[in-house]
Amino acid sequence: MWTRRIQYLFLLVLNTIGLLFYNNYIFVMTSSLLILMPLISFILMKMSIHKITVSIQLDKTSIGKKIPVDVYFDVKNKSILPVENFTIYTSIENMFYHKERKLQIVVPVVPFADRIVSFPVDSLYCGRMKIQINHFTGKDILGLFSFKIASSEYKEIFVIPDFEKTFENVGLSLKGSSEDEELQFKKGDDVSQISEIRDYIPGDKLENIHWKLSAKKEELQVKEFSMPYSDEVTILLNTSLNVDDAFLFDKLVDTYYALSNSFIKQQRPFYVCWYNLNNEDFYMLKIINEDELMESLHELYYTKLSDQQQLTYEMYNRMNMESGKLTLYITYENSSSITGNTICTLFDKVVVQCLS
Amino acid sequence: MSFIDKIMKKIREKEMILNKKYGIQVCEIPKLDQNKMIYFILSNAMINFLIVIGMLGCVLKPFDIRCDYTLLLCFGLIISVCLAFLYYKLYIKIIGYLIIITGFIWSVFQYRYVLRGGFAYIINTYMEFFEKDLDLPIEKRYNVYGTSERFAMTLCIIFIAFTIMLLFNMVITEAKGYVLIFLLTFPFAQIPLYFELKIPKFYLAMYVAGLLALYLLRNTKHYKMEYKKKKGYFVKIHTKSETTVYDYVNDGKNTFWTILIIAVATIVILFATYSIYPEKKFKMDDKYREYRENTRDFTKELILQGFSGMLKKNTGGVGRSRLGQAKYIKLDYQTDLIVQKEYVEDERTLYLKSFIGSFYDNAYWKTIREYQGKKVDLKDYGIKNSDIIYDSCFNIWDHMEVSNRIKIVNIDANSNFDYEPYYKRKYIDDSISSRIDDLNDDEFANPLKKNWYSTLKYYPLINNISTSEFSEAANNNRKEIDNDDNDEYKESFIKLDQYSKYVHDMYLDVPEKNTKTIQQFCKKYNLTKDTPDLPEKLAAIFQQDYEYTLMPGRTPHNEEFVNYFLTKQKKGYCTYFATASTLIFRYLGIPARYVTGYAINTSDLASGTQLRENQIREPFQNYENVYEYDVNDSQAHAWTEIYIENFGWLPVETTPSSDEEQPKPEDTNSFGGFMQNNILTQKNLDVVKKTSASLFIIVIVCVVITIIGYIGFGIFYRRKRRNNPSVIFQLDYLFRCFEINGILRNKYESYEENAQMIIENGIVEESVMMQLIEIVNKEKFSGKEISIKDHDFVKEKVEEISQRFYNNLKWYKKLYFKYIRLL
Repeated sequence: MWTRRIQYLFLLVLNTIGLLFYNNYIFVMTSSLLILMPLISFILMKMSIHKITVSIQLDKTSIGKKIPVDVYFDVKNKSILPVENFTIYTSIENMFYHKERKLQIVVPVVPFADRIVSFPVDSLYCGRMKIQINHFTGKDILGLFSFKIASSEYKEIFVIPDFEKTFENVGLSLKGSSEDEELQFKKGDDVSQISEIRDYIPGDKLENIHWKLSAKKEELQVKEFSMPYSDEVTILLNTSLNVDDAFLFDKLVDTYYALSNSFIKQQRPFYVCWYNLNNEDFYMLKIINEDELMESLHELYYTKLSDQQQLTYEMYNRMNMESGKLTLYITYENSSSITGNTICTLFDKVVVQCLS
Repeated sequence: MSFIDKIMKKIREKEMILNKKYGIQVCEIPKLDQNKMIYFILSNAMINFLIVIGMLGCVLKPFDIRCDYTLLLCFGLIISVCLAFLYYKLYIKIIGYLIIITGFIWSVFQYRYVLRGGFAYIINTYMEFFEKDLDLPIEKRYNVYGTSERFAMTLCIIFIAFTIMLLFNMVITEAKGYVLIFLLTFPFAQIPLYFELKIPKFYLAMYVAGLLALYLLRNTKHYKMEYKKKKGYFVKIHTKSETTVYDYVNDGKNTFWTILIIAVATIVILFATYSIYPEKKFKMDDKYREYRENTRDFTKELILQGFSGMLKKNTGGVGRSRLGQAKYIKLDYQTDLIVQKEYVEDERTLYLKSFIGSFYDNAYWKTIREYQGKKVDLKDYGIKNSDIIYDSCFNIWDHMEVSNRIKIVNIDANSNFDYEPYYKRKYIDDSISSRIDDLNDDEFANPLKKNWYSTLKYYPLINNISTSEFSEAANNNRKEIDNDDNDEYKESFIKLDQYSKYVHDMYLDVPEKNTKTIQQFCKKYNLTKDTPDLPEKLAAIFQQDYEYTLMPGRTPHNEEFVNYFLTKQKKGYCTYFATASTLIFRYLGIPARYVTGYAINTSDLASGTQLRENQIREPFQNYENVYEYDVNDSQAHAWTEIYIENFGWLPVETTPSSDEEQPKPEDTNSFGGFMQNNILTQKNLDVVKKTSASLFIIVIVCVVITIIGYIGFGIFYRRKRRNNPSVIFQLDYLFRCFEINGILRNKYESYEENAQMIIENGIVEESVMMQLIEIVNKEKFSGKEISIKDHDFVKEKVEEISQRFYNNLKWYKKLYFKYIRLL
């Protein structure tokens, strides 16, 4: 802009020299033109700049990773002036990592018209992508003055984790026994499945007596129900950023998503749980189907991540959450020494551990 | 890989790094909707039209070129639009240019007579103006081929407009090259200014608006053609801030509107200025004109000589080029010779001859050696060159009392010639006579090289003797000597008689093609050999019927120089008169020669610099009244010498005196000299001072208008703010006020959070502030209109708080608050 000002000043100087050396009336006219033009331009622009609005529009609200979303900047000008170098200062940020990708988009603004600029954006990592207009600037017609208008316009897009890798068979044993084994001996009160029938022991509940079989065997038989195993599993997600590679958290989310999907596919209800630094508490949700999984993701994307890698585990232990249940802890490989056994891995440096 | 591809590759690499770093990537360069090529084309057409038609209007109308301007405007518009459409697509451009250039050549050929007629009308009109206003010679008038003036001129100007538009179309569309276009058009557009002509305001406004629009569009950098850049945007990456900038290549609609606004604003401002401060009020002091006159002289010189002629370094003196070919004589006023001599009272013009023209041949004066035609040899007459080379035959004058010494130093005169006075004798070294016998009668022994000097003894001619008196005195002298017993003198006269025969055989030659004209001339003015005081009579004729000028114009190629001068041109400078006189004398039977050199007239001889005693050097020791003269181009001269029986060659002056005032810069050849003599002169500096006073007033007036306008705008702006019905706007205004004190509002925090800092400032009570915020939040988020009571409350409180805030500000912040931020 200073270049323009200097150039304009140079024009004025040239004109003054012309006036001095030619002494012609024409130069009086051009002098008045060169002096009054910036004034008129400034006034018109000052009046017009507030009549310009910018809004963001998106064609989708959620996308997969590396799947582009079209972003539209709609610039409405209700003034009579075309605006030169109207620049939208915008930022796109994945809210997990708080790293803003800054963009400046110059839009030609014409009087009494809308201009729409569109461009596709995608994210390499899952999370909540926030597209925000920080401010916009417009220059007057001579390009001598710049006017800045603040804006708080923003839009959010959810980037869903990849579903390319899935868990086919997750070992849920505490001590390395097979899943079938585990399920066979786990006792519970799920009336839908009977795991064992045994002889009556005083103290057994009357409703558990298998009357039909007792009549046949002529002694009291008691139904032993199997444990509703899905209720027993909790997925605990480490909601902290890796010190070496912040974007590794993305793999944690991918693992979480793959594991959850695996359980849903097996029709196993399960709990998800993570520590949210925003309210300094654990978030927990029982998931039965995909809708609930999406709900949990939605919550996860608003979670504030911690910088301390062990915080989730420490808080989990401290709060003694759901003790006695099977907990699958999704965490970074380098923070696994203090936790339980690794039962599976889907990505490098990310492990799923079984906490007792 | 092209340069652009390399840049693009680098940008892509940088983008990849940023993508990886931020985990977000912009997959494609942004696209603009509604970017229609038609507007871009119309914009370019409009600029082309404004500049070309504006410029032509400025340069044609003031000179009263009688063409149909309405038709010019219409055709200009059509041509500019058609040409701009060439850039619609790449293939259209290629094919279009081919068709247009072919059509152009065809139409030039087809309508060549009308076009030539039109050009002739235009050039003749300009020439008439220049002749009248600049006092320039018109060399010829161009044939108009019997075409209608208005029709031919209109067609020709449309053709010129088309040609210029064709050239500018490319520059405007592809590069918005305002500098090139300014340099090509401005010198023409401002021509009327030189001649104090009024430039038509309409065309001026068009031209200025076009240039201004071009300048602005170039600076916006949004002028690239869309078909070249497939994408509507191009990418830049700020390495430091890691910001990716997407700037659009062009947008026709935006460009179109910008030009329209600029054109309208320019026309409105120019006409408003004209209404408020009309031209008749703009009065200049007469002194102001001096610079303009200097500028006009410069222009005149430029027209006559061209750039090459102005920059050409001339040696001093009259040149030997073909006569009648110089339109204009340029005097450099540098010292060519320094002459020192004793002052002699009543001395006639001191001629220092350097070149003697013996034969006139096809507008050239040639020496005997150069001439291929009839010539006789001195030896055939029994005399040697050494007998006459130092005018030795004139030792008959030795008995005269008046003799003088002269020293001539060559500073910058032509070093191929010697510079010698009439009736000279070698003063110091007379030993070169052995080889001068080989020389012809019109040759000099030694050329005077630069920084060399020669010292001579000579006999000055004393004033107030007519030619016939001179002749009579010479005859009487001869008689006296014949009666005398001095053999030396008698021998001299015998040689003189022989030389006289030689002269009559040699110097009476008149070319055949000039005879008739000279005969008519002599008849017209009744001139014969016996006309008493013939040279004086001839000088009187020239003085009366002919004009002395340094700008006679070229002799047309089909005309003979002397004939044309005597019959048609009737004006010229010394070489014209000297040549014509020489041939007239010869025709009348008086031997005559054409001589060039320097002539220091009587008044100049009296106004030399007298040397002080300690400055007097050889050969003037023991002399008093030694004067020094700086001889320059103003004293370069051509004259005729006629042969007087019993005397010898006598210089005669037939060139009329001149009233023409010549500018006398000391050095117009060097740039420094030009600046010193034309730009930085005392007169000009005085003009600048005076004009500065007027300019100061204009600037003051403009500044006052600006301030009033700004204050007016401020009042309007504040009133508009006060009347704004939105309580959100009012609260925003309050936050903006506090920004003066560095309390910046964070747009991403709520009003409540932002308000804390204001409350801490102590100007607003917490309860009031919270009440305000509550009302604003209600309007913002409830979707219901707030009550009038709440509205008035907000308005009243905002006004009250802002006033209180303003009152607590320091004076400079008050100024900033009110007049910069317009709060």
